[in-house]
Amino acid sequence: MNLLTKLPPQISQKLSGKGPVRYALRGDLAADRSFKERYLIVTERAVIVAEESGETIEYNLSDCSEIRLDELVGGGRLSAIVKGEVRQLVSYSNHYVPQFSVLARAVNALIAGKSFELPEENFVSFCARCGAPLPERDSTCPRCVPRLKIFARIFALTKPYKGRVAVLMIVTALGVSFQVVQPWLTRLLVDNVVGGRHPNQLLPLIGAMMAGATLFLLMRMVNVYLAGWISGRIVTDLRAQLHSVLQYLKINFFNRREPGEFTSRVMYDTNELYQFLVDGLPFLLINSLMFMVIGVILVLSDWRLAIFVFLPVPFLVLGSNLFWQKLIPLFHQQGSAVGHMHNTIKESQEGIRVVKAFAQQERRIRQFSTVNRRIFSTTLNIQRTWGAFNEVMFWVMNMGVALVWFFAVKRMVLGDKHLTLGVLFAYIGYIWLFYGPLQWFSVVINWMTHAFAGAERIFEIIDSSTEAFNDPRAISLPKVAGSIEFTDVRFSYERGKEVIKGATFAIKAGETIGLVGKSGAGKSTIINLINRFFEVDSGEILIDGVPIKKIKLEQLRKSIGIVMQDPFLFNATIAENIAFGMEHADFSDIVRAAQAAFAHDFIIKKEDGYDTMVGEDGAKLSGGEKQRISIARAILHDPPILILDEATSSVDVNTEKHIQEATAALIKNRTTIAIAHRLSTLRNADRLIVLDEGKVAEIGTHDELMQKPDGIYAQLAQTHNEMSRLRGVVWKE
Amino acid sequence: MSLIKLIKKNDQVYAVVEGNEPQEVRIVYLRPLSGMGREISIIGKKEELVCVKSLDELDGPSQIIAKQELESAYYLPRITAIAKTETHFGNRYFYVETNKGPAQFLLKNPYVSVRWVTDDEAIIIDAMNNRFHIPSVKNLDPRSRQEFLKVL
Repeated sequence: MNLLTKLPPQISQKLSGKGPVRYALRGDLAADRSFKERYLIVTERAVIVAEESGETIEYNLSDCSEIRLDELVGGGRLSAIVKGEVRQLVSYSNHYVPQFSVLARAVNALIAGKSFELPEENFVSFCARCGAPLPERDSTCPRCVPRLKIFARIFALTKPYKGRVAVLMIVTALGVSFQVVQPWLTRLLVDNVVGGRHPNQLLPLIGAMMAGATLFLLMRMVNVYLAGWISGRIVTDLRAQLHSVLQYLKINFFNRREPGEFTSRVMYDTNELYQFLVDGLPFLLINSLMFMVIGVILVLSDWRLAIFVFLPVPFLVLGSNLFWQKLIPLFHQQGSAVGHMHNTIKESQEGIRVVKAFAQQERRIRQFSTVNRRIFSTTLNIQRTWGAFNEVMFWVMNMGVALVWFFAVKRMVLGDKHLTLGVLFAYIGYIWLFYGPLQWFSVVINWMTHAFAGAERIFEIIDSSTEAFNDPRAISLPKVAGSIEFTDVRFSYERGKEVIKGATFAIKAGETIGLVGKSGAGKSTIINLINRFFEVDSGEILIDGVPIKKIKLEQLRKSIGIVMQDPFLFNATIAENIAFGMEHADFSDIVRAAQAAFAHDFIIKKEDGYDTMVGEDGAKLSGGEKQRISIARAILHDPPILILDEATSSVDVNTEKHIQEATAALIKNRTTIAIAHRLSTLRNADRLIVLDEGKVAEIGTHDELMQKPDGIYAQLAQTHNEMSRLRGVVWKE
Repeated sequence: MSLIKLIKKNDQVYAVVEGNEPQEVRIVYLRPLSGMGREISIIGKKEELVCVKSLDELDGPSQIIAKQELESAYYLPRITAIAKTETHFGNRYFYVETNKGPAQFLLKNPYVSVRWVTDDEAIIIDAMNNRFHIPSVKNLDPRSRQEFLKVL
């Protein structure tokens, strides 16, 4: 990352004699918060704020104790604590939040006399080439993506099937030839047979017409089959590639996307591309070829008539484009309304109990009617525009044909020997072949844009950075003992919004640790970081003394077992779910794991025992049953490090008792980190680590922490006791 | 009579509650999208100190401080005209004039990114989570309105 933005001359001049610039960053908001450039410059001795005009405000770095980052709505602000007082330095929109967040940390390190390593990412949100905003930081600019490049990439997907592609091209060319020859045969038929010059050509010409039509039919059939086959293969390959990439994408890829977006990429975008490749691309190929061939034939046959044929072409192309521009927003509106209706129906079904319980049926009916009416009016509007489009286009074509008739007949009446009735008939035949596809070119090109947009979104996923499973520099530990160490770890899901603020602690191998803190304190983030679901911003996490970045990711993940608050079960049998982490596990091992997890007894009471299908996300099981299956899964996985993330929070007291028995068996001889909002479940932990607002606030045993009445843990325990009393369950000290 | 007074020392706002020691505070809207200018919460280091229905419930000097703070905390340029919109690969680009100067932004999904406060008033949240305000779509000039509706 570059924290040395080039400064304008009027500002550079003001810096002479102030020592070398360490950091300089441009923000986008002026003092009056209008969109103007403003710079924050840090030298060895000073922090300087410079306006675009060159005006500066300067603070001695030695007077600054801290650079503070304020998260605002729609942007952020950097302030300095100067001699104990807050001084606002720069405000900026969200475009610059990550850069200023890194700058704040860099300057704080400078103030503290520490070294600071700049992150590799640039976090840019504008295209360096065209200056337009990017859809995501450091992503490809959609404005600058060359269509040809996408087409080339799609075409590259046909490489394994190049033989069939070659056949498809030949068949397409032959098909066009057989179609184009028909009006020419008509001309011969009219001039030679009807005109009486060669009456004996009747049968050969009719035979040629029939043969041409039959061959055209055959070519079309082969064309349709091959286009479908090749497109189908391309899309099948793409879907497989997408799903395969999904398995290795970084977790933050999913965090910054809407739920269902990936499904939409795999299903909708690939389908859009498929439809275009099957129908749109052959249309473009066949008709472009036919357009050129017929154009040449028309000019060569009679160039003067050809002028009248070409006359309506600009109207057809422009008109089609104009109509399409009008239709696109209507399609968007219809899509939005249909999506809204889907949601309304889904909510009506899934929320039916709530609707009934609050007697809100009428309100739901009114909401649905509004959406329904919106769909009706948008669809009507589309139909009206679409209908007008077709009819107007047909009218323009008829005008062209009428013009050709008029001038052709006029010339024939005046005795033009070159223009025969056969030529005129052939001309009329060619005109319809020529005009017919013209009105659809704009439609298909728009269709292509949509399909390419889908392809671009697909390629964006395929090109996304994946987890470092194949890092050649990573090492395999001979055996993972399970000690974990955090050294000044800082982390933010979104730059500028730090959630772990310098966590330092060590866990011995085999130790059971309770991770305690209020909601949002950073407990689950610590778990995510140990699993290396995310990379730390700074600091280091070590397992058995080795930084986790240096351990093979597969070994790291296989060394850690997680029992989650809401465990995910696949729609498979109980046995398959228990054996998820160990595909070829022996059935006796599965049973042993289930027994250890106190799951065996409820499993065998089910009609299909271990063969019971659990349903989508374990829907056919109770919360406690799902949890015990996930514990059995972790037992069978047998990792040296175990994480229990609120494993008992969503179950009743009896089930909790069963799960606690199961987890007691599970935590033996392994490093265990347990998060639980019921503190009573953690009191047997060897030590407790208390987190508060992303920092380690306290570490100690339950008894040690309870000795500090003003401590966070003691206060949490106090609150917990009061809550337990309310529930009639008292936590006995 | 308000029990809370706001004071600003340098660039930091403090609250004095019932004559106690001043404490650092943050001031937030309860409904920053649908209730801008209305319900306001004043939050101390750990918890909310007071929640008022409007700034009028504060004394005059506190009102001024709160207003400045809210303006600074919620950056919401007002769109006065839409010069141009473009669509590239499904991304909607806006080139606009605002009360804070010209700006450009991108929406990935307008159905999610445009929040309608009323049938006529909209808040746009761009791909980087920047916000822009259109107080009245009807009151935009016809070309701006057409550009806005074109990409929605």
